[in-house]
Amino acid sequence: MNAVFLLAFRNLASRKTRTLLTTLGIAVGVATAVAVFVLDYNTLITLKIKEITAYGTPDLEVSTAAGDPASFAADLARLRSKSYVQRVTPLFFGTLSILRPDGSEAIAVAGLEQDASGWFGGYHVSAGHDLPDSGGHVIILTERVSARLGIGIGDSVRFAERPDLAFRVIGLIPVWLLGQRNNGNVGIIPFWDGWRAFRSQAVSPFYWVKLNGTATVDAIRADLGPDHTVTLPPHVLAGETGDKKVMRDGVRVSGLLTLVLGLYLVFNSLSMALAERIREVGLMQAVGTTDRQIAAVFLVEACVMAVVGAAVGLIGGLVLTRLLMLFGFSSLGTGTRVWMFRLPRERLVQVVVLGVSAAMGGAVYPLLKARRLSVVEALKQRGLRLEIVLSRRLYALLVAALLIALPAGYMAAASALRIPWRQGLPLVVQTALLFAAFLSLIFLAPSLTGRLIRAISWPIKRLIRCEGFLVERTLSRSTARIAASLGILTFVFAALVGLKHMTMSLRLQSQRWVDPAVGGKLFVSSRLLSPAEYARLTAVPGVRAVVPMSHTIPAPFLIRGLPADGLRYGLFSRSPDLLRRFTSTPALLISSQLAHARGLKTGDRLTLSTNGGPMTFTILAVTDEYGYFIDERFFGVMNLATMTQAFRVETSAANQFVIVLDERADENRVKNELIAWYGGSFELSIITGGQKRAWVIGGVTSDFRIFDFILAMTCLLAGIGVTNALVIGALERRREFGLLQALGVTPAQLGRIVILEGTVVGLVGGVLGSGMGIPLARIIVDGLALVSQLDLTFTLSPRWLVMSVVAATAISTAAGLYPALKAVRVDVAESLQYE
Amino acid sequence: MTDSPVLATRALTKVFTTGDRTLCVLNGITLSVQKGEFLTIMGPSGCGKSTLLHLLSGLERPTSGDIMIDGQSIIGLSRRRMTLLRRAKIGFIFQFFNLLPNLTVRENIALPLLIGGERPESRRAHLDALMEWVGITDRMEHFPHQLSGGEMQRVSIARALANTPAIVLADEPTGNVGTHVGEEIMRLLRACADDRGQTILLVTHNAKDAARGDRVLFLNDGVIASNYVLTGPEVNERRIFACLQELGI
Repeated sequence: MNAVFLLAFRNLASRKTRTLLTTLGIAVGVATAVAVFVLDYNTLITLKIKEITAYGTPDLEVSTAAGDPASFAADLARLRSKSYVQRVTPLFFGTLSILRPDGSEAIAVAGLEQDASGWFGGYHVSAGHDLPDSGGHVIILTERVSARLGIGIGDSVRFAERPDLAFRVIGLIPVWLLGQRNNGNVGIIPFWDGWRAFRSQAVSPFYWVKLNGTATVDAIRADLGPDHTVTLPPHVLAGETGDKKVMRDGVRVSGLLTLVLGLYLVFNSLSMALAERIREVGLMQAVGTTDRQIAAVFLVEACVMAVVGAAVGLIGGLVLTRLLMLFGFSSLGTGTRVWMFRLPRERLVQVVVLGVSAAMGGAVYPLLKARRLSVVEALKQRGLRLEIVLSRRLYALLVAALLIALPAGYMAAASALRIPWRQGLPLVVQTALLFAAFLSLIFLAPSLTGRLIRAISWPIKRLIRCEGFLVERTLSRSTARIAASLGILTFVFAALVGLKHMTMSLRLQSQRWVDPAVGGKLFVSSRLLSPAEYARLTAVPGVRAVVPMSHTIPAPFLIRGLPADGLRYGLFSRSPDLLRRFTSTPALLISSQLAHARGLKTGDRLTLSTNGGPMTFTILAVTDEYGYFIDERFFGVMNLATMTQAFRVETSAANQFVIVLDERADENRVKNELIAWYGGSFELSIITGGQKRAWVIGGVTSDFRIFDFILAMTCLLAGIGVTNALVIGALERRREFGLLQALGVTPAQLGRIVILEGTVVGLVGGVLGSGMGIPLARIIVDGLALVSQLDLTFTLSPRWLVMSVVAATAISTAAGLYPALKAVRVDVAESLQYE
Repeated sequence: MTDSPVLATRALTKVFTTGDRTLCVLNGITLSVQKGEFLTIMGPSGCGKSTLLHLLSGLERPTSGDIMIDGQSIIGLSRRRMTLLRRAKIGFIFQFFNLLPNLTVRENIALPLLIGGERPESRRAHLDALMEWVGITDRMEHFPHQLSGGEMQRVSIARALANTPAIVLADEPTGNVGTHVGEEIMRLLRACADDRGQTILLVTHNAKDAARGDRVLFLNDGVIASNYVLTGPEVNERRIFACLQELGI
């Protein structure tokens, strides 16, 4: 075998523990990154499929100012002539009431052309025929409507809105794709004839567009001009907007940082290994091995560990992904169930290549340092001092790069993404300064670290004099040896403190608004119900009011129209005058979140564009008592009568309601009564305020559970890092351990010394991590408040600071167990025999 | 010197086994050392001198035979009991000094006290006297890498004496220092026996150093050459040299 390979493989085999731990470091880093990226990839696919299966697959949605069928047809023809348009189909959504012998049944109606099925996958006919090209008064119903109302293919239906027209049922669709709307109570009618027949019921028509080539949304917007609104459909936006995007980015960056941490561990391990083996390098040079051959030996070793580590990490990462999916994790927390498992091959290759190349890079740097030593120097020195290998200049450069690159990188990225960067820049600069300060403290100011070690070791020294003394002296006077371990522990536990404070601030913030928003209420979804139908719910004992929540306008923020007679609770019951002003003047209530995000307050006036021109509304109060229904936190509330008049909102039916309960009513009892009375006929689905509260508060924890996983992996890496450093230290210090035993240190004492070294490293790392975690937490909370526009406040939690120190100490102490065993097993006579 | 041996061995044998090969390094060594005696052991490289020291100090276990320290057999002692015995009764001086790099001179010297559970501060006078005696008072706050070879060996001697052990084992203590410094070190060792009543076991290649002892033994092929034990006036450089020649060492 070639000498290079022989030496490399012998070295790997003879230093089994170090080889194993270094390989494990790469593997854990790669596995975490792989798990995070694969999970995120599949989270995104799941979200997109969820959206597609509830909608269709247009590339774009375009709405137009053209308001009548003739100008709309002309606009459609113009759009069809565009080179970037492959296919386009018009559609509208609305609500119609099917006339029944005993009244009427509201259903959701979609006005479509055949292309909406074939080209855009919006629906699939399961029985009968698809819409004819010629249009006409025909209708396709969902299987659910057909079964519930006893209407089959060939029957005719009439609508309360146009009783003069009979629509013949030509086909059925399953409760799937567009058929899912309104709890599966859907009818599809031909677009043009439908629009002509029900213009007042049709929500503004728009187009689904399939694109040709690679035209960008911005280019299309510019080409179509201000008369058109170009938006991306839900499946394209799924997971790519707002807080979901921030969350996913956070998860991916954390995964990548874990990989970087793993690779730093490898770099440090290889550097320490070289320091330990410098005499061997000198010997190899002395017997005629060239620099290139020596480099090759080290590179082959690094390559073997990197390739094996990356391969194990890749497989381990995929297994981890499956486990995470099994336990309900996604890159958006534990709220989204991921059921797809596909591999992002390109990203996986990137992670593996990054892992392998960084590990190789980790071997090159210390080699370059070693090449500067002469043969005699290398042979004379028992070991290349770590301070030489891990030179301060390297870390000084790193600190300088951090101070410059982080803000510059942020500004460049923000500019590229067209995000305003001025607000976030101070936080980025603070982050850079914080990391630079702690990097400097750990790697550039050994005397300060030494003092900290002495201070922290003091009680141990008092308690266990001999072991404490030796540990304190060894650690405080060779900070270079433990700097990497301290660095890893500091950054991991600072991240832990930061993350936990962030979730705590979110939880506190949720607790502030959730009680008034959900207390004493039931949240109900149903099929579309007419006002007469949903009014029947008030007959159930314990129900005080039924407030429809379906009537909204989207701009300039979500505004919900609520009937004033359903709002005689909470603030309005305490202030009847406010209710009078709410019903008699153009007025708004706004949620606390919207008020915070937009800087609005009671008494402010807002001018909104209504169908009748600009109209000024006064903000009567900032309150969360009205208008909260699902996840939306940024909203306003308007009197429904005002909304209907000003915005011509269709209010003939609703399928979402808040049921306000009597003060002493038991929410579960009322829920059961409602289900018993109307559950089947109204297709009720009810969530109690108590459940909602638990979900909101619990959601804060579950949303960030994925970060707990990443933190656990970084803790594992920290443990491996500290173990590795202590093991390499134990190998290097064989002679010292032998000497101590020769001088009378018992094996138990020696074991305690090594374990205590781990303990002190953990304590110092935990203290530094907590110290760094406090300002980091503040930055994270401020950053999140900026991104999410949530009214977050930073509250210091001594519990997590203590937990951080305890966890760091426990991990590091456990990391000392194996090296302690190695130290105790040192052959004293042999270790003292040779120079 | 008194008649009761502070250190004695009986038919001490050490065999190393590597695979199917065995190597008998020591073969039936029987010796006895009196309190305050300065015994020198000489022999060629690989003859088992260091192994003998390791066996006497309990760092290695003999294949057979017995070792008595202060009349107590150390064969069969647990590793911990052996360590405690060594801590109390044996001091070590090494060829390569073996100082802890992260401890100052004072701390290195105080180390055996600390290991024994004593507070070095309470033995300040003793430690100061030791440092003065070996001549390194002015270097007491220095670290080993700031010292010369001679100074390091003085520290090593002071450390070996810190616990006031009954026996001091010196394994080629002048092997790594210059001639002049070597002489100074030997003077200190001689004074240990003469002034402090400590038993010195010196292993050396150097006839001049060996001549400082009270008795000289020659170890060859794992046995003590019984006809070549020098005592009293026989212990001089010329006679030692002659023995070495006769033994082909």
